[in-house]
Amino acid sequence: MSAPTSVAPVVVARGERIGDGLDAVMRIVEVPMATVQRLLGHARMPYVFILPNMLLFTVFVFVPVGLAIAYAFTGGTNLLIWDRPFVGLENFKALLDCGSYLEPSTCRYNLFWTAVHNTWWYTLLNTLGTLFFALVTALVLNRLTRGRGFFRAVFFYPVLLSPVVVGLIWQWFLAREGLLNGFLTDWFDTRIIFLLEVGWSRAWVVYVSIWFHMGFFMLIILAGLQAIPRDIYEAAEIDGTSQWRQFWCLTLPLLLPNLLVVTVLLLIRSVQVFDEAWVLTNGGGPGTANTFIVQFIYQTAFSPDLRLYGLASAASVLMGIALLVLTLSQLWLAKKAEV
Amino acid sequence: MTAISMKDLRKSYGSLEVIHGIDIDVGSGEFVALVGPSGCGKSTLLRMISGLEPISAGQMSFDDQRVNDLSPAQRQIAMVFQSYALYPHMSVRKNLSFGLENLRMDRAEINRRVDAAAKMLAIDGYLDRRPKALSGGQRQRVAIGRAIVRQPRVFLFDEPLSNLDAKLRVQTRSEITKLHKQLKTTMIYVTHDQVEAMTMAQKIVVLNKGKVEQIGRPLDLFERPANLFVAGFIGSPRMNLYPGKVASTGSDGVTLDSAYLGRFLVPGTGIDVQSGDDVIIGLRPSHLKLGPATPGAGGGTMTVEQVESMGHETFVYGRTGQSDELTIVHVPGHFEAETGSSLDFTFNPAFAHLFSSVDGRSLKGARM
Amino acid sequence: MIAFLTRTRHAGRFDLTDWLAWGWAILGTLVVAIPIAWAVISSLKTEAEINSFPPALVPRAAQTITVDGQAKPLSMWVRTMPDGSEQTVALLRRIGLSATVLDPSKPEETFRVPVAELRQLKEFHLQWSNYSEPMKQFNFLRYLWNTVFVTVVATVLTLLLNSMAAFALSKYRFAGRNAMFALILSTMMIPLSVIMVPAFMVIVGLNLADNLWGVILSTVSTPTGVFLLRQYMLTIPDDLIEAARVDAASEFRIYWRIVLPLCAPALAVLAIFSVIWRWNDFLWPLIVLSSPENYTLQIGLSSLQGQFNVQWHYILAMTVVTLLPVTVVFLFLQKYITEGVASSGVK
Repeated sequence: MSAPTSVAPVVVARGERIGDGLDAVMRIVEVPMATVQRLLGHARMPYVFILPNMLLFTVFVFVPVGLAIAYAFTGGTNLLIWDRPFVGLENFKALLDCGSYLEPSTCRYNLFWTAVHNTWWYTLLNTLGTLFFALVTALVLNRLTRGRGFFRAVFFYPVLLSPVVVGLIWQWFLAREGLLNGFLTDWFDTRIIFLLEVGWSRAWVVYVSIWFHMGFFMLIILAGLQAIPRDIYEAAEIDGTSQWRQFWCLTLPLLLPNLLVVTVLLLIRSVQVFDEAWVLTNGGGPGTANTFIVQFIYQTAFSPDLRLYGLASAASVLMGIALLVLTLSQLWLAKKAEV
Repeated sequence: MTAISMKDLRKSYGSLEVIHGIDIDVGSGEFVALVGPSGCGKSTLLRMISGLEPISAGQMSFDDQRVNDLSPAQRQIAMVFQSYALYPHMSVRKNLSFGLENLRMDRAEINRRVDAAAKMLAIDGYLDRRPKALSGGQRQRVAIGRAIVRQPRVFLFDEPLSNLDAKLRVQTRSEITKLHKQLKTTMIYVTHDQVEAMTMAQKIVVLNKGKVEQIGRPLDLFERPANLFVAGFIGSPRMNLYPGKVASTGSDGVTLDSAYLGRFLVPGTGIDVQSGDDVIIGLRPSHLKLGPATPGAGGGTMTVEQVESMGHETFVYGRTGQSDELTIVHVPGHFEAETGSSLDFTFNPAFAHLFSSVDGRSLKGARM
Repeated sequence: MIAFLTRTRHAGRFDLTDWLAWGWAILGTLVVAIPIAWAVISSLKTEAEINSFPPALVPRAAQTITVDGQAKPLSMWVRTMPDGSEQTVALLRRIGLSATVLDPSKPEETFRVPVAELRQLKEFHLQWSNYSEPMKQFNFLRYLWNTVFVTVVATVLTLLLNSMAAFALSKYRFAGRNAMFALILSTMMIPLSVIMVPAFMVIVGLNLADNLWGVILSTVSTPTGVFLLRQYMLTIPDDLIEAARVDAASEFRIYWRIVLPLCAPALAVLAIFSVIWRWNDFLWPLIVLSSPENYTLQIGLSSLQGQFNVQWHYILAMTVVTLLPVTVVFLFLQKYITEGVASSGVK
């Protein structure tokens, strides 16, 4: 809250002179704000303070939410809502028009259903994979008596990188001339163009996502592990409980609420996969093997030759509903975890 | 120098009224203490005076000027908070000058006032320190200094000594009294500690449950409590209370009958009782003496439960008959008694207080 | 052996599970570090090296020599003669399967040898021009400047506006306070990917398309920031604010001189997060910005990759430039960041 007692008086005085300097500058804002306070009275000032934030939220979140729903019921390629004809449920019908939902090629917008299928598989594998690696890593770090801070930092570091950077780093690592192919040539005398083969590229997209985000979830699980009181284990040890049973009967149940929240959070994030996959696969390739829902929305809306804002919004609304269900279940789980 | 008058002041939060119509007049330059148990509304009342808490109904005036809707700054008050509320990120000097800078006062004048106040409070050696680097007593002085530099119309103190240790508390008490004599500014002082109120204030307002119980000079409250509440609150240790009955009334006084104290005559006129009334008899521990009752005086017997000797004085706690409350006797000097032994005590009936057992008001014509 | 699944051990003996734990941690470190290290190493290679296969683990370049009578420096090769002895030669030119070389010690004599007998000599070499060239060639300084501008302005505005809102929400009672707080928190549930189309329309409507301010303004209000600061401000005693009010400070002055300085630790955490968020933003700038002179680093970088002739030596160098600030921030503030994430669950 305040400077430690060791701060030398000279430093305090200097800091205060700087503060006074800033003060003079702030007079520019302060004087009008004081006038506002005189005009409105002190009881209305909180509204003044919260106004800029609420204004931006309204313009950039609340209005777009309303517009997204409105767009979903209009057609044409005009961007401005008042130039767009009302088409009712047409966009939703078009998206959902399918011979068999399991077979994207039988659908009217097969790209959408390809994206849905890709997203579904990605979500499943990414959630399970991240959960596994994050849990094991958290358990390992929780166990380390030395070097925990270092390893925690190392595993968390990729989380802070940008999706573009991650995509490029891995694209280069997996490239024809990349390091991995160098090893493959050395050891097996073969080269695989990973990102141009459907199966390999999908596997690598999931792998890179795990690599990218694992540290974040590991940190949350680690915090949960460290919140488990140690004396519980000591009591179990006195009771002669085996290590296995301690894990299955103590650690796991006590960690479960934490893991559930992490799982839902992972699901929410996975459904929205876009940036790093887009950069890694040069826009969802090979073909449409790594085209996900967000990319479908982005391309449908912003490709110069499509500009189907209504269709994109309808897809957004469908995804928004799915996310809302997931988010509400997360809130519900978080609330339950607290009890 | 400002006189404050409060007329039927009320404060409610929604439908819950916490201050139920308070009338207090504070003379110009007076030192007034607001006392009462915690939750009695004394801090709320102080905050209403300061302008931090809006007034729901009634009128508050400073020198005949209505101030109900003025901000603290416009009322020109200064306040010393219980927690001191020193700005932790500012040096002592800045803490003192901040309020003056807010008023856009001339820099030279600010420095003059800060230096003067610092000198007066002997904090001029710490002006460039942060509050964290100060002791409790020093922080307390800075908080007072911050109020002084403003040269306010009214000083408000909200339990300013409760965070100090006992020794420092006594010392600061006399310093605040000295400060009042020097500045002659109106001061209102909130405390739950009746000793502080008794030793410092010129006038005490006893509050209970959002109502004024009594207003008066310290000794008045001690000697002529208006009701049972004041009687119990003022004085330490508390007054001994016994149930009794009026046996007869006469021109020389009232004869009382008590299961614990026997029959005795309380001299005096204008005692508002009738024969057969139930009353409560109050006796201060210092008015009880150990020893057998002399004729005409009241007295009783107690079984000693505890003896607290402080060397120069001793309090003896004992049980009288089947009474729920212990009788406390003040004995000057050191005194020893075995627990469980029996002791007689006596008293001069002229010092007995009488209260109605119906509504607790004093029956001995106390001044309200 | 499963003991390591359960808890922090007591200090003492070092058993199999410890080996497994350390093995996992070290292996994981390699998995994290190798791709990044590989990108950093590769970013210092010459164009020729980067396209050669199999890749070398250290950046190298052809060794050259200046020979009297030759205008340009010549590359150095080792010639393995049929009898097995080796000779260092400089290559003049190569035609088909034979090459014209000379011995640097006798520059007048040139002779022809089969290419198969030659092996190029390389030396350790860091190609720093990979970093300087794109600055001139691809407008990278412009991207860098745009990103710094967006990051700094958005962070300053985020700190200012979010702290004002948090101040109102934590230190005042007013009608609608809880509703507004709930509304702000609810925006956490609405990801950009759901509203990107209409949000873009709003940007167009405000005439902010292809404008850095369009990127900045929509990211300034963050529910995370308001929440974080509000929680912190709740711990500031109300007495301080009332003392300032008694001291005749205006409400804005209380915010500016009392509350904001006391919030410094929380502001610092939010500032770190905000810088990282804005520096790394991709999808939204991708939607809003269309002309290259407005690109941020991330957009510029991803557009380089889409070009016909992928120049990996430049891309990798710029990737390193892009990840450098975040890395530096992390190195110095690692503790605050990981603790901030662990305690608030935000990223």
